Amino acid sequence: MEKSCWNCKASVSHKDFFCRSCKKIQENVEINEFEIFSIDKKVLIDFDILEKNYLKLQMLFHPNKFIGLSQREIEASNKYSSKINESYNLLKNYVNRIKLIIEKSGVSIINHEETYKNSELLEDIMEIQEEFMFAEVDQKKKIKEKIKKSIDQILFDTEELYKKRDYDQMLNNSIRLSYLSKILN
Amino acid sequence: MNLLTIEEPKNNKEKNICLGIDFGTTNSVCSVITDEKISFIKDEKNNELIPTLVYYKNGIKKFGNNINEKEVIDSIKSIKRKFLKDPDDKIFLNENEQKISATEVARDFFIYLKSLCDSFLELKGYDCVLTVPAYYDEKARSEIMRSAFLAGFNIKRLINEPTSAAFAYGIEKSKTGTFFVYDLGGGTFDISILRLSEGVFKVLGTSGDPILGGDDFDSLYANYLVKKNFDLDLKKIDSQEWKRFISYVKKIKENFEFKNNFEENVTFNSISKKIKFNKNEFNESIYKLVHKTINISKSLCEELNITDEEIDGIILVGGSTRCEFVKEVLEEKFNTKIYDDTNPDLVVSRGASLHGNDLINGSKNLLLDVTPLSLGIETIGGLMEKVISRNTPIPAIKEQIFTTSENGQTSLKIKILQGERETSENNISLGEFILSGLEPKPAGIPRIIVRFSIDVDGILVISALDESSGVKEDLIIKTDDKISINDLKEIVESSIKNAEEDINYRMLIEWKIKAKKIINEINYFKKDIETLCMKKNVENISNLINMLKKELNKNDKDKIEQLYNKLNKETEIFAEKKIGSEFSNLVGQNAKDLTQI
Repeated sequence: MEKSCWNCKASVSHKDFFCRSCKKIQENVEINEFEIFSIDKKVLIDFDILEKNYLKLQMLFHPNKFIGLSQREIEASNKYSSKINESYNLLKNYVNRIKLIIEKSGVSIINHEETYKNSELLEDIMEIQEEFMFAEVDQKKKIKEKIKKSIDQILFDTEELYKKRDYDQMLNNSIRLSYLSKILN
Repeated sequence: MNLLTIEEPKNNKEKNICLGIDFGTTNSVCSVITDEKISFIKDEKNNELIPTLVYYKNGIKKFGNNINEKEVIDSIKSIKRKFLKDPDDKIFLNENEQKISATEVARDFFIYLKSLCDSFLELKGYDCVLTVPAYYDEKARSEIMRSAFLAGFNIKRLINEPTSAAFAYGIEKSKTGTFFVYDLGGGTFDISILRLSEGVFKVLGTSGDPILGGDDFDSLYANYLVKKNFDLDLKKIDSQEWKRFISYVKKIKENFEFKNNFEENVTFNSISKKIKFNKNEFNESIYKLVHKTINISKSLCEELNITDEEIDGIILVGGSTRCEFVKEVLEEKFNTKIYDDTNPDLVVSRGASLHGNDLINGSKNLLLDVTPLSLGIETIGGLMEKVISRNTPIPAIKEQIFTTSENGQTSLKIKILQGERETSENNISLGEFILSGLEPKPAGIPRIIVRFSIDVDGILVISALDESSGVKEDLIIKTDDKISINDLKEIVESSIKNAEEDINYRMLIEWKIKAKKIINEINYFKKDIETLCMKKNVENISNLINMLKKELNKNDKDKIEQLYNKLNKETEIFAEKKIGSEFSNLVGQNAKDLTQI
């Protein structure tokens, strides 16, 4: 898809953030969370790449780099910079990341959450929660370690589920993960 | 992806300049970078540190170090603290005995700072980066910005004080790693945890207490001294005498930097005594407050999942960190390196001018900050629905969809809140927005998109859109004398590119905004006015509105002001009839509560 630059009218592709001829920032370029950070759509991601590319992107789009330019350009920078911040936070958090993968695969999440509300998952979680609440300080540390290990395992499993495109089970896991992470905090 | 190239300033070999202004509770500092070198603006007496004091009496205005010791007691101190509560309340008297607000006192002080900058800089430049406590709320931020703006400064950025200090440290000392900035000033306590890597300054989180500072040390110690040495009921002490005594105690406190024990003759409430001062006693009296700062610090670390071992050092900022006891406690509780090798009073302004220079002339550095407090909306039952949570990187844009709760509802009240508590009454209310003129539809059908946008200055702009009509509705904002954050943004971004515009011009813009608002408000109640008021009255109102609308296209501030006041007077009758209070209080009465989808 081709459109033309608002400033110099040169033709630009719908994926170009900057015009190739006049270098001006372009408006309303769609941002795909995984794509913009050059990260594969997977459950387990490389955080170093995420961080590195986050800073690189902000270096390009942060409003501080647009001071003294036109209101139009400042607004575009503000939008992209905000979207990059939001995407970065989504990708950094495993629960949001899994949900994002499911959504990007075209599966609606809202209807599914109901299904799992009363499952045995909740019983499991309550058990861990209780164990944690009544534990001594030393014991708490151990439980935390256990939860962390269990989270790692679930993440690994979820990756396998994704390979099989088992979105229902992935969602189930993401709910479990979100409860576990709440206990940790 | 194409790389961005920053345009060179046109035909202009001279570098642009941008001041760094640290408007502090106790002292203010201005600095600027010229020829790659940082210099501090000095006052008439050659001081870099300018006490944030304003003295008004008998037609005379005095500022900073020009105020003599006698006058200090009668002068306005710690004006910055007043920004946390209604800074528009006219609670001060100026040199002509007129009532003025904290914003106006601060404006006068900024005008003084500007005059110092004028005489220091050969070329005039009023662009500046202004620092604010990290933990300041939206209202305080925008009001401080407004004060400086009214004084004639063009604020290029607001940056958080601890971030600014860390920026100076990072650049000047080339530090990298995770740093904890502990900023204890005269009136505010701020902490920020930052990750510094080459050229990138990323704030991970921030916290603090906007009403805790060195001033509290002084009053705690003063209390202690009076209790110990004078058998007096503090409630019966004259406030002037107490103020004088506090300034005296402040000096005693500063002496502890050099000695642990000393004796002095002290007069308090006409009683003279020889008093022994002992550093341990001082430490004891401030113990609780220092530990409060440690608790705030520790909980931020916990919140961000950062262990003590991960912190590469603590950077001390603010005059009150000179206190030995603060350092001792920090060292003991964190067991990490303490950086106190730069002047804690000057480092914030230093960072601001370095950042200002970067902004105006372009640089490879990048500064990423967060919002200190959560922002949200009041929902049914007086609960706060968070839209943007604290420590979210800025800029941030977030949209949430709301709907109506009653059939045929044509307006919606949106109350914006800031804070961390569950119920809205415990949080700061930033204002109410009324979205009117919705198409009447069954409850739950309209989709109203409320958009929160925090920019890099930490300033919030809110807009609401009725999706069904596809048109952005006018936001009628409930106001009294205050200018909303939204408008402030408008002022700052409005075409005042030329820094030499005078204050009258700025006042004109403020009056225009006020005028537009009252017109909006009256339109909102048009039908009510027609039924409740006499024909003559309605005619007058409509004539005044037409006249005011015409004036809005011209630039006569006095005329707009006159018409505004007339219109306010004319609508008084209506307001009294309706609810017996001021017109401005009325907006919002009809709007139904909103429900979230």
